Amino acid sequence: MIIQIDFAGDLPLYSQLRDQIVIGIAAGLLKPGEALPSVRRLAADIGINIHTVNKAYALLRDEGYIVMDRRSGAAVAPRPLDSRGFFEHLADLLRPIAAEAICHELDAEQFGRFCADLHRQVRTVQDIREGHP
Amino acid sequence: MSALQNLFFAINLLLVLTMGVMLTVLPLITRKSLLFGVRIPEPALDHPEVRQLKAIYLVVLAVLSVLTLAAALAIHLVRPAFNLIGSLYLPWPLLIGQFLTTVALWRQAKRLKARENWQVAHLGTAETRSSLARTRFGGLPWAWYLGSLALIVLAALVSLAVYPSMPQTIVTHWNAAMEPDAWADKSLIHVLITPIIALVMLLIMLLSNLAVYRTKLQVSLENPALSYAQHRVYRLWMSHMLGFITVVMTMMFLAFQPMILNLWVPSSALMILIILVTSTLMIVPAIVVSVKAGQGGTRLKPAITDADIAAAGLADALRPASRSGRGDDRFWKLGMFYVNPEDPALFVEDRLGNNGGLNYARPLAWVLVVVLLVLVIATYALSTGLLLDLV
Repeated sequence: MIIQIDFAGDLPLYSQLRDQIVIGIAAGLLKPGEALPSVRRLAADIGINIHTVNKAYALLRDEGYIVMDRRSGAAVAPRPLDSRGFFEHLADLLRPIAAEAICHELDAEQFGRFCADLHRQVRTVQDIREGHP
Repeated sequence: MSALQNLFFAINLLLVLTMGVMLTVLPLITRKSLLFGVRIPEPALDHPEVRQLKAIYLVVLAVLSVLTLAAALAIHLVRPAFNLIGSLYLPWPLLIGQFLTTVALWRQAKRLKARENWQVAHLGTAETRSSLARTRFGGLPWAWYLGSLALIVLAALVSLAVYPSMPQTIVTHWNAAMEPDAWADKSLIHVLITPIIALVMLLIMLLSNLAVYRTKLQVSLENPALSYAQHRVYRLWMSHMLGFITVVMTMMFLAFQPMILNLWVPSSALMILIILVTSTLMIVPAIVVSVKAGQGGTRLKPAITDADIAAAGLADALRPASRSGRGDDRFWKLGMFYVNPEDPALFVEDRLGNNGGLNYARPLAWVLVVVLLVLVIATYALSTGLLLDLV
């Protein structure tokens, strides 16, 4: 998958990297079990500090999206992921966003549809790659 | 003037001509979004001043090349004994002129970008499979290098086997007519010097190939999927080109070995033929690959599936929109030298032409520069006048 970091972006670099790898996994651009590049190589190719990539990889490992092995390096975690506590996590992430939506006068149905569209958008990439759009 | 001197002159001309052409076409094989080391947005490519700056470069370099050719002719007429080592000095005015022209045009390009307020994104890009593959050594065309190594080892073994039966005094130098004109006591170092030089050249070539392999990839922001596909093919072409040159270079060095061992002395015509054929075999593939592939393969049209492009496009849409700004120009000193302490990359793509560059913020870059300089100077010093006045 192509990773692209915006040096002029709002989010910290490690967080942009983490988000893109999660999106890559969800969109099927990274398959379960697929090996990921080494921290050093990825940092050199993107042109960011090694510690930035380390931080993103450590975060992804703690969240269960990737597995890290001292010898064989990092790889996308096999499915199914451990989803215990996921709903609490999702609620914590979405609550302020739902609040923002309310402030901008979106009703529950509009907000729900928006979320569903984004969900579909990520899934579509996977469908196209597998040849049934 | 002897035939040999005329040949030296022809080789000098060929060398200057090759260098002149390669330097002159640099802006044409550089990524389109780079104007003398300054990153400009794609819509600015057709701006009249952008075309004008490129035209100035072409004219200045063409004139410089012609002047250097004229200088070569003048030197040949005044001092025909001028040999191949002389041709190493000949291209210097051309190289310095090219450097000064590029710096002047870089400043113009920078001013133009500021005046027109051209904004570009500053992005860092990687492709996970490409990054992963390039951490392994399996992708290098090892057959070329192992083949060269086998030839060198074979030559060294044959030399060692022949050594005891060689007379105590051996011929160490031949004049232009291939008549012996210098003798010395035999020594192991004299017999093994060519295999050693060939081995050093092999290591330099392997290092260059590794640099091509490990270079940070520049990616077109409009079509990253195509960029990575182009780069994959480019790396393959470059690696095989470098491997092929290594084999030819090894054979060229080892062709002198029968002379060193006093086994067989070729005629001067054969010597000339060997040098002409091997140098052609080294120069032509380099030019063909650079011109046909362009910087990072940007002139190639590799096969990528529609699904790849569609997926890459959609994946693009999943990213937050990038901000525009001044881009990454500030890391490129004089538009030519990459200095970025945050970047662990050692090898990067050059901003003009298709050569590799180094990240000079890394101490290893300076170590490499010094080591390469020492190796090249030592090789020339060792090979100068060793056998003939050819090199």
